Amino acid sequence: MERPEARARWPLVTLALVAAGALLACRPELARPLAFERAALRAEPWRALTGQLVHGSAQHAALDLVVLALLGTWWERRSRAAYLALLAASAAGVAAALVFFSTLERYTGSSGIVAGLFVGAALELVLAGRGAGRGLGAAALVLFAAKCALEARAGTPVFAALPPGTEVAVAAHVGGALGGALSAAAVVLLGRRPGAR
Amino acid sequence: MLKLLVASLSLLALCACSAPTVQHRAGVLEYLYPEGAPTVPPSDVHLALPLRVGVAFAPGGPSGESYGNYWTGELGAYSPSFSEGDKQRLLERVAAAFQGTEGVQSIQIVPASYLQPRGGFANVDQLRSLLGLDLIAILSYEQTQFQDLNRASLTYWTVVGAYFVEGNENETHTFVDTSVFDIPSRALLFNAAGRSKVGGSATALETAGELRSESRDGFDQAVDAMIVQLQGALAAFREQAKAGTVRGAGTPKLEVTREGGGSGAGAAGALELALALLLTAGCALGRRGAA
Repeated sequence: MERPEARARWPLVTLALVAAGALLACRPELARPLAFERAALRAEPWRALTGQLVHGSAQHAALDLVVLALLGTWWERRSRAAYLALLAASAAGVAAALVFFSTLERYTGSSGIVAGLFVGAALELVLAGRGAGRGLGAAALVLFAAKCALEARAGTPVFAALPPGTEVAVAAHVGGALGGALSAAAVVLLGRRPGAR
Repeated sequence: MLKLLVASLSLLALCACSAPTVQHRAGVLEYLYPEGAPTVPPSDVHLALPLRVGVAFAPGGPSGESYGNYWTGELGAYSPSFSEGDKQRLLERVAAAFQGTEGVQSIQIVPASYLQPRGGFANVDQLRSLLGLDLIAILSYEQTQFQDLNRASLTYWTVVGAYFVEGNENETHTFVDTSVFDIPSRALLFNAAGRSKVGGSATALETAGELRSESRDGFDQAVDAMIVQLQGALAAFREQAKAGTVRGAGTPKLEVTREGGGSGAGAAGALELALALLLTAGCALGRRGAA
């Protein structure tokens, strides 16, 4: 199903995203005009997307970017087109959730995108996988749903740490996850199986 | 005549050996509820998160008695001082300990000059308008320093002994308390205290310096102990808040809402990392199998 040349492909998009996130984490003055700030969205709407690469601390950036690198590489080596669709849908889902379903003035972190890639990967395993892969995907989806529910109830992150003074943005996780799920489902159901460019 | 002389010398010796005590204190009650001010019962509390908190020492100063004479190292010349610099340092420590607390937007140290002695809630309302505070944490304190002479102090009669022999025994007791008030409702949300006891000995000539040093150490230790207690009190308050009252039945009702304006973040965690590692490992195994 997967072509050998596709497996050997360099995950350029993922590398670029991780490099951009790392650069913004190291240079806060570059991150400032890109960060998600509700008050600035009307004049600078791109902040709703670029803010997803801005992090509140080095530790925050490190964990987010490591997971983004791993999941992004997995997706990109399977299908760059599917990966780009998933990224776009996840980022759009996060932005929409933050703008329309949250009152947060500021938001940092790539975990919304990561949630999209995570749920997309889990759904892809369920829909297109077999045996253990399908079980793993289903378990991941259940655990993710439980994590979001716990975070919404407790108001604090589960299995993760946030920069001081920030609350967990459950809306971003849910928005990203919905974007990722829809995109992954479309990829599988419309016949754009991994491996297709 | 001889009897009178002996009695006078005995009295003088007794005076010289009296245990001097100095005390300085500042109380939250004297500040918020001065004499003559009407007592207004607290109303129901509505906390709109995130909160802006001010932290300040209640105005106060030296009180109590002070004795001193040559034989006790001129303690009379020692005036207990709790400088604004020391207060600022301690307030910064308290603020740092609670920086990043969930639901707290900022913790601001209120300059001492903004607080009027016996200012009451009228003064606190001014602070609220001036600094945009929701809550105020007021630190009150009481520090008492005792001094005794041990047997070695007999060498002070040689004058040389006053320079080299530690005949003075000091003891410093410090009590610090923080009370956190919701300004609009006047309600005390929670409070916590810390105490310390510091002791030491000194020569007659070093006594004043030693007492000052012990005073600082006493405040440092008491504030450290108080911070631990305050964190516990905050956790207990959070739990209590779920019941909808400030401190149980009969106390003001408490409503907590979350307003916009906060900072949020999404953090990928162990769950996402675990699945990503599993997928990566699966890919690697699949590649090895294909090879």
